[in-house]
Order: sequence, then C-alpha cells, then structure tokens
Amino acid sequence: MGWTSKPIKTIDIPEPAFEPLLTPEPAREPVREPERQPVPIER
Amino acid sequence: MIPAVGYRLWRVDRADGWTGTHLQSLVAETLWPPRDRLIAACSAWLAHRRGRPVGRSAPAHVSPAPECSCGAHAFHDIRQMLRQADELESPDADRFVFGGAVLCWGRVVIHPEGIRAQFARPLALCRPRDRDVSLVVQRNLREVAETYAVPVIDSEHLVAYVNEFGTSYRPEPQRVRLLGRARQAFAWLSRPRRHP
Repeated sequence: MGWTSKPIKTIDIPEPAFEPLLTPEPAREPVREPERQPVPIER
Repeated sequence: MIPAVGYRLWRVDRADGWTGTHLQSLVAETLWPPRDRLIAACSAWLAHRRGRPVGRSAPAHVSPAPECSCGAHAFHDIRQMLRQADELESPDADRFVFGGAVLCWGRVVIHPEGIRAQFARPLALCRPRDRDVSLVVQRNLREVAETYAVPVIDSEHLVAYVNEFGTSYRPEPQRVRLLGRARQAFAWLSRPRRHP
C-alpha cells in the first residue's frame, strides 16, 4: 500500500473527544487478602 | 474538525511469532497496537534518532511528511480496499489478509486515492465476502477482533458503521481533475534545463 500520486493538501485533525471511551480501563490493584493466623490446636 | 475514516488491509500470520493475532502492515513490519492508537513513524526519522545515516532524499521528519511516503495509509473508498483484497492471494489459512476501517487524526496528508495519518486506530474488521471461507480463517478473524476489541462487520454495512465515528476526506473529483491539469500545465518547470 502506498500512494503514487502527489498529495493534495495536509490538514491537522484534533484528537477525537471520544477517544477515552475506546481505551481500555486501567487495571485495578489486586485486593490483598488478610493473612491468616495459625490456629492453636487444643490437646 | 471531524476525524478521518479510511479503509485498509492488514496481514495476519498465525504461524509467525512476531505477528500472532496482531494486525501487521502489508509493506512494513509494523504491528498495530491492540486497543490503542498507532503512532506513525518514518523509517528515516527512526534511523536518525538511532544515530544511523539518513539518506539525502529522506531527511528526518515527523510522520507523515507531504514529501515522503510514510504514515498510516488508508483508502478513501471501501471499494478500493476490497479491490486490493481481491488482488492479493492468501497463501494459506494461517497467513491471511484482513480488511477493515480505521479512524485517523493528527497530521493527515490527503491524496486522491487515500490518506496518510499520524495517528490511526482500527474501528472494525470486514467480514470476508467469500462465504466459503475456511473455519480456520473465521476463527483467526474472531480472535483478532477480540484482541483489538472491534466488531466484525459485513462490507455492505461497514461504511454506515464507521461514519458514526468520522468522515471521509476524499477530495472532490473536480478538484482532483483541476489539480492534474494545473500540474500538467506547469510540468515544464520541473524538467531539467538544457544548457547549450
């Protein structure tokens, strides 16, 4: 793919306003589970 | 100003570890980033930044430059893309050429047949018109669409879908004809002069 013709004009288009809607959501931080304490065994 | 929409082809090679389920440009090794925009870069510009020698004909520049051929390419018309897809033969099911639509913005260089853009992002993939396409190709297309989070749409409905996001910057035929005539009229300016 490549154009063999000469360019007609050059324009500047601002970034689309809806662009954030297309980007994926940022990854959430993993939820830490509370550490389990060893349960003493009754004898 | 409304973003530009265009139509283009990508290469997908499942057997290639570099490509995988990613869309790759037909003429370059550029992989289009999934769920993100592609930022066009000129190989001459990259060579300059990496300290490699740059040819005199292609000085370092931000892509796309009007005098260069760099940038993310896309046809104005879906029929041009479909025609090119028909011309390209797929060697096997693993290496396939997929068509689709892209949204373009930033610096955009407009040519009679298409555009070259600074930023581009796939909007949708085009379902092959051949209904007898193999199951492997169908699975590949589905996986690529999932990777890029884009829908797979029939070519008859693709234009209507992408026009929700942007517009075509196809120049009017009259303007193209007039520019062609003007260039012909002044072609003698670019001819080398003969010295007696």
